[in-house]
Amino acid sequence: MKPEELKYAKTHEWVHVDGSKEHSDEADATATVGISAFAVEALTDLVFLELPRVGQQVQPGESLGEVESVKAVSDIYSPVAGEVLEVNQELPESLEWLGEDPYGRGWIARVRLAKDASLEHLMDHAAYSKMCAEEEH
Amino acid sequence: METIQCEILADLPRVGAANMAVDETLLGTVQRTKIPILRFYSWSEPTLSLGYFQAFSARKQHPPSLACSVVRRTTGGGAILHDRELTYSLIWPKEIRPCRIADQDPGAEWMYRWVHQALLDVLLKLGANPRFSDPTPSGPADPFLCFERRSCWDLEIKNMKILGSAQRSHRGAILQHGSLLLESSQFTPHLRGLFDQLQPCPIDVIIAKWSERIAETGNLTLQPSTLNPQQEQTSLELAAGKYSDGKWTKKR
Repeated sequence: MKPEELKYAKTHEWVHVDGSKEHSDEADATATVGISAFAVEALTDLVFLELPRVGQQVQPGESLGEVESVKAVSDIYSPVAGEVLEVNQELPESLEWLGEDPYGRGWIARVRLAKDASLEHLMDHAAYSKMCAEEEH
Repeated sequence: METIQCEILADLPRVGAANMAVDETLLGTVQRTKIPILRFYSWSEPTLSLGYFQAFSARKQHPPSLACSVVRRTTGGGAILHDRELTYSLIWPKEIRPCRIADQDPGAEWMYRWVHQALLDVLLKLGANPRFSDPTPSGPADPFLCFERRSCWDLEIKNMKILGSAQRSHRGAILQHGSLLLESSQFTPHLRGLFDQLQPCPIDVIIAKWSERIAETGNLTLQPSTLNPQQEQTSLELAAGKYSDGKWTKKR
């Protein structure tokens, strides 16, 4: 996936609405979620990742997993509302993928979007890049 | 330059579940008030605290502490045997940054550097010769005990680690735990603490000098504080409902 084509949460998770279903009111719209290259770089030396549970219902801002780096435990927040359909089960044993390919092999979960799921609170790549630049200064 | 108000608590010794419950309660307070809190505390009985991602079964790797109480922290890193040591927690709102603190460190590692450098400064004045550790690679194969590991922010004296810290980032605030090993414990006789290498002094003196140096270097104004009744109640509920519960302690 190209980072320019993704949506981003303020908490540095990315979202790709799968297929052509850009509108979350479609019954079976799904989204792939991961954490951005900026977040992976800030987290530096990742040593543990806990994935969400398949079937787990999530709302925006609720925990979609946890990571540990440099003895710091952080939440991964769900950027969307829905049900966890699938998780990247190989990722906890292959954490280098998050650094090498955060928008591809480093995906974390696929979520079936809730019927009333909104993507309006998410940023496009340009707005997200601007936010990251501001965070760095 | 405007100073940052920061509450400081010199807390009573508590059991492990209560100590972890107080820290979570204070994390919730800081998320609401945006006023940082620095807490110093000890443990009313020797207690093993597991890092958040450590498996409960891993405590078998340390037989001397198998009879000790155990609690799981929300922070990362390795297990700590809290006996002859001083624990601190610094709970900090993410949106506030002490302007005197250099910001070249990734994430919230500036908090490690800040608090540890403050103790290093104090110990130098007291005649010790502490230094930051040379890090060892980290990963699932790390030694079980925190004090057998080395990160670049740890402090050591004569190759013996005396201070290590870990963090939990949650909803706009960071909880940083740290343990200052004071003396060798019967449960970890191979570890040496600060007073094994420096003329012992009252722990209140260490707390006062350390907190003063943290305040000085971070441009803080420290306000002595205690838990209010609501915080005590929340802590009691968390201690009973979460940190004393096997579901939490044995969640991995």
